[in-house]
Amino acid sequence: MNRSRRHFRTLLCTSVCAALLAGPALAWPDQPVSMIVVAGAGGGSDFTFRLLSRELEAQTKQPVNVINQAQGGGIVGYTTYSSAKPDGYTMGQLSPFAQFKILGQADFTAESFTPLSLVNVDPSAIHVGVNSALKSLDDIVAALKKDPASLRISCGGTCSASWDIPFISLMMAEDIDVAKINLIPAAGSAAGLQELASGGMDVVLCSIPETDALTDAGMVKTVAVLSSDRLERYPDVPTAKEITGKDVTGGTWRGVAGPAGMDPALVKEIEAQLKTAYESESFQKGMKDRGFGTQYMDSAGFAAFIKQHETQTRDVMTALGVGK
Amino acid sequence: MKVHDSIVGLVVAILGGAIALYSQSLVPPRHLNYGPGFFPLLIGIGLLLVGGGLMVQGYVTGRGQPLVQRPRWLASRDFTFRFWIIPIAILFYWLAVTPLGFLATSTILLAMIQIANGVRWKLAVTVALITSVVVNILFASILHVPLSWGLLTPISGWFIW
Amino acid sequence: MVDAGSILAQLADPYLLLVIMVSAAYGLAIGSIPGLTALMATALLVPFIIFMAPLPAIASIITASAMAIFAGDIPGALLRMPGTPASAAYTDDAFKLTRQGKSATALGAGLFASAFGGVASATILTLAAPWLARIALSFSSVEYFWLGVLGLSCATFVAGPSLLKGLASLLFGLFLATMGLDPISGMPRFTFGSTNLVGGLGLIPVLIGLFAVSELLRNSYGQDRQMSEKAKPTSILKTVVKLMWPHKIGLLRGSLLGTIVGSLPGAGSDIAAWISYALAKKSSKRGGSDTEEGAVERIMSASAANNASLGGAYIPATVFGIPGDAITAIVISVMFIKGVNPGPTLFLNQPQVIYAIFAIFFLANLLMLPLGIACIRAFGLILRLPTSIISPVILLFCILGAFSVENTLFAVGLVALFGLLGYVMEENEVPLAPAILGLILGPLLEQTFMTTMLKSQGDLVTFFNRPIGGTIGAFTILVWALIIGLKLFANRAKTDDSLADTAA
Repeated sequence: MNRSRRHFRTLLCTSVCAALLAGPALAWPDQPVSMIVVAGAGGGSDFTFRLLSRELEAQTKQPVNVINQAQGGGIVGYTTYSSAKPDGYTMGQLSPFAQFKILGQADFTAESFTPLSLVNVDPSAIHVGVNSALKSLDDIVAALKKDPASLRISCGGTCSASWDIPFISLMMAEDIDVAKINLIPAAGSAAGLQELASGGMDVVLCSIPETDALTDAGMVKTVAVLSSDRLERYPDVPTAKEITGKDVTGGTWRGVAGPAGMDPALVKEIEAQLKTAYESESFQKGMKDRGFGTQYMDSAGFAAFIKQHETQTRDVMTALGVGK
Repeated sequence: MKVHDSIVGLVVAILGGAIALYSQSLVPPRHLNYGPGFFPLLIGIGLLLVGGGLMVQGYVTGRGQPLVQRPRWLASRDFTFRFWIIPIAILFYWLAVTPLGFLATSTILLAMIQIANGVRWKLAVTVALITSVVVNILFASILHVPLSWGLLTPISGWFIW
Repeated sequence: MVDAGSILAQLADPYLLLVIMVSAAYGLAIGSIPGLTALMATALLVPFIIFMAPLPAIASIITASAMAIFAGDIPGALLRMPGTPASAAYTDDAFKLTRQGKSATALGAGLFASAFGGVASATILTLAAPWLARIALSFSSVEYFWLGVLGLSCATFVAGPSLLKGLASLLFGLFLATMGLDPISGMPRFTFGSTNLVGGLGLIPVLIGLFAVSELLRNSYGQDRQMSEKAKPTSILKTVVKLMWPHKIGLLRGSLLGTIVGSLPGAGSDIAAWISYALAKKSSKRGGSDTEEGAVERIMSASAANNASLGGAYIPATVFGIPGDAITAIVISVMFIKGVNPGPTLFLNQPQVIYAIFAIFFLANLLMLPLGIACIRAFGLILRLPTSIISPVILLFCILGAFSVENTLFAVGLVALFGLLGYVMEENEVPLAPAILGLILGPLLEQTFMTTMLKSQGDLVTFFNRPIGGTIGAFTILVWALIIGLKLFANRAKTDDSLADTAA
């Protein structure tokens, strides 16, 4: 019964879709798809992937089940889908991962995954307390030049991760002895910002939308964003490049990937579906309303991107003297 | 299974010692004053002290008590079986749910324990099947808990609403 | 300007009311099923409400979480299987009452106290949220650390007859909390190369294993076959209305404490009920006694605090977007997604929305009374079915509850392991509740201690040189010194007696 159904679907799809897309169409998906999110229910990653999955569902008429596996900073979730069968029915969120291997937590490399599409990039930003003596990025650079250990800097999450790696890259470009910088991990950006408000931290690194509430309350000021251009939503926040002249960017990003070894034809198929979902109005609008950046890369572009991510992470962490 | 307080103390102390020893293998990776081994070391020492205290206390106050009391379920084979069927059922679920799917696994699990508890097998199987179907509909179909569909996976799209 | 009429008009929407009713029934059902928890109820709701209109979405999640937190008391009292980590504090007291055939008292006390705590915290929330939030934000890692140490002392109040065994359990819980990635350096600890252990031990599977499965094991060989008859709750209304007034102090103290402790992000909700329980037991003559009245006082104080802490957690959540606990973290994300961005501007620009949310909070807690009574009734009816049929179904829900919170089969394995462990611990009179407390507080303690040490670059003095932190610190040390001093003294006296007896 199952086979005949598959045949029927194939037939239907080849006749209908091929006419529409004018290309070879496989029957992906002909059963429900699992989408592993490496963060908890209700967070930004969860939201992004639920939006995307809803579009995929509407396009493919198959359920796309979002499954949250946030344990161990996402390591459990990455392991689940990177060790699944590469049949296109288990995919997952791919976000900064290179630090896991360097810290000896897991051994994912770019080769552990089949990158499918990148859908989101959120630049890191540098925040200070409103009453702080530090008023600008220049002040921070000057203070760290004088004494690299003088500032208490919250990574807005675990360290050696999305927010602090680009910041450290910038400080390396400024010839600061980054190994001495006092980086302090926090249980998430909210916890870091709480410390900033209570005077326990001097600088917090995280994305800008996360600080909206405290900025409105007049407690936090964003001094620079680590992106190549100013963000549309925050036109008053200068980029780090404008201030320092050093073109250093980075932050977090979210893409869809599958286990290593997926069939190139299947990859093409899924990539096309993801692109349509990405371009849908409701995905674009949902991301924009929430203040999340959208950026698309196809499978090949995403593959090159994660290679570059591995190199940058390794360079920074070597300079910091972390890991092996 | 009740054992003498001194043995409880010994077990606690051994656990504490093992944790304290293990904590020494956790070397701080950066110039941290208190590394990842610091808390485990404190906990290990704490357990050692508490375990030692329990041993002494057991020795002082518990003289004349038996070292090991046989658990009550050992008194009858039925009871032993009813006791062990619970962890066995959970292990069965762990191993079987992915290949067999939730529906079949849960039906077998429920029927198995009920029969062990002395329920007539026809009733047991009926209750098991109805409960499994209802739970499967509520949690997998409606609430989207990613329960395994096992053999039904290729057509499970029809059952997820 | 906020105008009460317009808020009421928003609430009169039949669709909204329908959503609230359905969510209430859903929350009560999930919360009251042993093995399924309030966190699960909230998390499973996310995919449904993520695409709803803002107000119904938020109403749904607030109602469901409040109901589920209360409903967790039902299996706690009747079956000794607590539904939230916080209710583990008073499960034993409530179950003892059930055993004496007084389940109506235990459950009624829990229900009315929960509703009272919820309404009280909603009142405080409405009147003073922005002001309280500022205070909560002045807490840094130093204050949190001391709060955690103070919380640890609560373990001694649920330790049972042997302080040493209670401490062993607490330390064991703290040890379990260290498994997985170290919060500071990210180094894997006690993982033995297993990816599952890198993820650490989830609080919920351990809770389900230690309490629910170990209880199933204990019941498996027939000592509690007739539990269903004893658990049959009688008239709740009549029993409890009489009880409210004598325990007013406990109720008020629990509600206030719950709101305040609950409003501290990251520390709050779980600890509030424990501290309230400890206070009821230690500081009042009524709550310290071993009688029925004492148990009721403790249950009321602690469950008032348990539900009040939920309201408290909304204080920093709505004012600064900083979540108080796992459940509010989900609620806040939902608010963000719905474009109701928490923050002070929410109070200025969209007061009708924020006050409508507070109004829903009131409504949900008032609705809890009739629906809660109905739920307790229904639960009592189900318990009349033969244990041989009910207990396998409970086991299935334990498995399901652990799996759906963690989404891993490893969590199912943990349930079996901790079930056996809990059984052995209980047999040897090692109390279970302190282990849960250790597991709750472990990460907080370690994270805040390490963060403070990183900030001060290893200088321990920093734990005392902040005004609030230093005060809490000194107080905490005093409490601990008193506990240990008193116990040692009591033991010395006892040992002397027994030695004298032997000598004579």
